[in-house]
Amino acid sequence: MMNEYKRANDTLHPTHSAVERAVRGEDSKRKGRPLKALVPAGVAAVAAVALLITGIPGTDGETGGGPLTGSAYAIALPEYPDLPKHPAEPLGGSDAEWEQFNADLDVYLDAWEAYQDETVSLRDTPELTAALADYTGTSAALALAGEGNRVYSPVSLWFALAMLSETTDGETQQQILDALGASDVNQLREWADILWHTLYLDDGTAATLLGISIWLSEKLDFHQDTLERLAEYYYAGSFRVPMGTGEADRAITEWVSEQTKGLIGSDGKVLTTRAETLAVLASTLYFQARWSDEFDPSLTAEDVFTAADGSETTVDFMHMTQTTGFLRQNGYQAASLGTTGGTMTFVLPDEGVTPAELLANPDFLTELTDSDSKIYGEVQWSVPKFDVSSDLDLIPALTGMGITDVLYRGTADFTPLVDLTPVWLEEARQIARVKVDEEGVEAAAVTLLAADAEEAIVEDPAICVMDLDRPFLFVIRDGDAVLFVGVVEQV
Amino acid sequence: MTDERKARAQVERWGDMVWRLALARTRHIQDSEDVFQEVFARFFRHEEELDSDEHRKAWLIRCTLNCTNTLLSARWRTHLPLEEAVTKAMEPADRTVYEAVLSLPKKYRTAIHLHYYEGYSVEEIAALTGAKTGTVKSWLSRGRDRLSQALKGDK
Repeated sequence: MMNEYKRANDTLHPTHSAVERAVRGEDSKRKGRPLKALVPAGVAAVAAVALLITGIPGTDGETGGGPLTGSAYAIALPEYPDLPKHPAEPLGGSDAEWEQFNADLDVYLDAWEAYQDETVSLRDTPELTAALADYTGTSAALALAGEGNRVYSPVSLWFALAMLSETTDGETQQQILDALGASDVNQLREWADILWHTLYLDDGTAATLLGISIWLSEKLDFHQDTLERLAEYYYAGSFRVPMGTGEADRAITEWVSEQTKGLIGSDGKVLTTRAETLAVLASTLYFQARWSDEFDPSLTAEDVFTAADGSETTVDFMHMTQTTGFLRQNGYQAASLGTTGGTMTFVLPDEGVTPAELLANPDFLTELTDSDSKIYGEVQWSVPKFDVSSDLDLIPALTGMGITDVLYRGTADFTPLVDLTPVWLEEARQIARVKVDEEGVEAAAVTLLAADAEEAIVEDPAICVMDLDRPFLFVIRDGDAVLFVGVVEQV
Repeated sequence: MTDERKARAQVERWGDMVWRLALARTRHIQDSEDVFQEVFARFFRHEEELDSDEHRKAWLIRCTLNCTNTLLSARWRTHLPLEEAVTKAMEPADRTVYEAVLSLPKKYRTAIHLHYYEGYSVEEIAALTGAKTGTVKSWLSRGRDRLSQALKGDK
């Protein structure tokens, strides 16, 4: 029997194309990490924060200039960095094409490195990292209190609050600085610069885009120097619009829609201004990336998701098995999936534990990054495809963080922005949306695997079954910055 | 990075072995081509750490086993019939046995290939696959049993 098997095998040889591919070696052609086809999908997440500042115009309010036509709302627009896109691999191309690719890749890497070198990195700023972690833990617990699906972007609110601190003074400003952990406005400006440089990404394979803007009532004069500072330190665009009109609402909505590539604001306006609305501070965060290891669509199958209230829905679940690290802690288990723009961690609370209970612990989000406690083994993923949105009222969160003076007409101090009084912050909302799906079939066919050749195949690996068929949480982070925290209670 | 000539020599030295194991595992030419390329790409990155032919061979086998592990998790692939192109150069009697071996469950046919074709002992196979020696013995004996059953029908 075995002789026949041996003879049969002796006739087998690798195909010519297999040999050529192996000899030429993908590695000798590609310096960077293997790149999949540039197909948008994987993870798309956006948030838009709108802070509405209201005031009562007195007689000393000047009527602004004549009506501004369509695109001329802008007073000042930020200049975004001009950086090259990641070159596309010339798969199956000639030697010359590969040489060109390598040259382009060098240009790309040098440009982005130079950009990052413009400031100190977040990694090298422990004060900011610590302040950010505190702020994130506290604000997330407050912002995500409640029921139903909810998504919160700490980073997006951070920039909105930083802008708010520039436009306020006295105790009003101090409360905001305290909540962000900054000692003074100068430190905050430095931090904003660092965060911006850390997060900004738009190279054709993934994007993390922060949009920041201030919308001002046409009726009033604002302090020009404050607006200039906003543009300079926060890449903030400033605009004048006729508050309280459909036109203003549409203009702001359009801006949000543009910044979020249509994920927010493309099907109805995001806010309603009133005649008394003085200013709207809006910040958006757009995140789009592909999974580092795509889900094979042929493994996607329908299954049952049981919501918090016990109701059941049938949805598509994506499947994958990985050898990686996972956490088993008190009350939950967690594992992460890499993306081209950051890491997405999924948290499955134990039966009987709610996401809210986990979030109530201010150190919860930091604990998720604890690599010492990780168990290394096999994670079997069942992830529902989901598209969740939320519209959060952040006033309770601001109050919980000690930011209160700004909310009341008797105490709010907006003197850097405008001479008019009283002026106070009337509304603070964050709209967010996160969509998750598999990668395209084409990319999946090219993907090989995650297993490292050095590992022996473990016979009984520690197995973590991440079956997200009941309420779960997710966290999207880029290094130490948490971009989004979400609770999915129904899909 | 490897000089092309050196790379070709290595691929010629070890290519058949990697190819035959990849085929036994994946039963599919295109998958084997992908695995083949991936295994050598990794091999060239780690070459310097491998100091003997024995070491190199074991490393390549473990790598091939790992690479074919994850691919096989795709449900639809496990039901692919063996391609005719794979067996066209075989004598009919040999082909019958080859196809029978490849129809065995993955672990059985892996053990049989490594033992009867590559000549590894039970202990060596245990080391390569991370399984216990008792387990490997049972893979071999059950594999052989199933094989005789399957082939009795044809003979």
